Amino acid sequence: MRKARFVANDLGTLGMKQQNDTGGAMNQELLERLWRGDLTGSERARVLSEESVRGGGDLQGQIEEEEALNRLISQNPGCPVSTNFTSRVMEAVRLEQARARREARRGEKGLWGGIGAWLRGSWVAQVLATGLVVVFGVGSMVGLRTYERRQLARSLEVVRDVAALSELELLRDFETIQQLGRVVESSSSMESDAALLAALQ
Amino acid sequence: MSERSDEDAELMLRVKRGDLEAFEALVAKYQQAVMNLIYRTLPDATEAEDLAQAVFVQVYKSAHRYEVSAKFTTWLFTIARNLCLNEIRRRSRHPAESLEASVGIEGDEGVRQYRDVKTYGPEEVALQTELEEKVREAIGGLPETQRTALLLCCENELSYEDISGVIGCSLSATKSLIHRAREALKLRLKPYLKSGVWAGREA
Repeated sequence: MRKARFVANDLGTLGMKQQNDTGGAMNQELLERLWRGDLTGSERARVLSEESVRGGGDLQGQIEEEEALNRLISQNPGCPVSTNFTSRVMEAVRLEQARARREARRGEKGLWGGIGAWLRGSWVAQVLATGLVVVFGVGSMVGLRTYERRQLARSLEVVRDVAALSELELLRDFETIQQLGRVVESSSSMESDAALLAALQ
Repeated sequence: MSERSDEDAELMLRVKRGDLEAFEALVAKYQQAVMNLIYRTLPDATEAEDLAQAVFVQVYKSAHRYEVSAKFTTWLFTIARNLCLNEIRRRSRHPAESLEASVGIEGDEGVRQYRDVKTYGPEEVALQTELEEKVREAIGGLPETQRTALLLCCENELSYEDISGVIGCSLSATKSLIHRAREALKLRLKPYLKSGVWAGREA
């Protein structure tokens, strides 16, 4: 493996400040400049003369190879653009503009459209809307729980009332007793005696 | 280069304000570079042009997000590369052979992209055509990241930092990609590098 023996002060203009120990014959910075075709003729000549003085090998060959590759790449034709390419792009952009305007108009129509546009346009609005949704959700849950608790309390009251009632055996003659009560309230004559008798029967 | 990027940034700021003339100037300036980059990835002239159009429409749509801190070319080529990759992914999901591609197989593919070679003799033209074909094949055969890095470096003269921004990898990885791409090309094009065929064209 050969090392390029560049000296810092000689090659200062190329920014080569150290010897190349990477195994390649060429300094990395020189190589990168060659890739980009940045090496001027005078710089190239100086590098080569320095190298020849130091008895370097095929640096010239390598530089020529890199330059030849640059030529191959840059001179290899690409694909020509149609003559109407710019006008096609501009037409597409105008269509895009028209579509965006239509969407904006559609978005602005009506209350919901306005709200939608507002929500899309501002992060504050988005935070507010999210907050509202959260508050509404929590409120609904609390309301539902309260309603369920009330329903449960009502059910317990009914159960308590039923539990407080007399035994069912006593309720069997409920209607008779009620009628007896009415008879007593109405009068105390013969009629009431007859009614009492009927009620007892 | 920096003057050029300042000029581009200025144009882009005008585009941001809705200036279509500025946008037209940018399209005119970069259409060939974008087209070449796309064409090397998707070697179909019609599709490459459609995709190049989509790139510029995307640039216009995203103009409001453009910041002067970002170099315009880096931004432009990143969009171009992303659309190319999307197209490659789409094709891999829905493979289809284009009519133009099948015509190309029969022999006259890419005739339209060759330079005007009427000033050369038939032998030179044949040699030239063969060489162009070989170089295109060699570049086309590189992995996508290597190819993009190489083309951005050699054809579009982007700085290594800008190329790494487009490719989305570190500076050293970018340089390594370019190095590997060049080594692969040197290997594939060795006889043509030695023959000096291109010297005649330069004269």
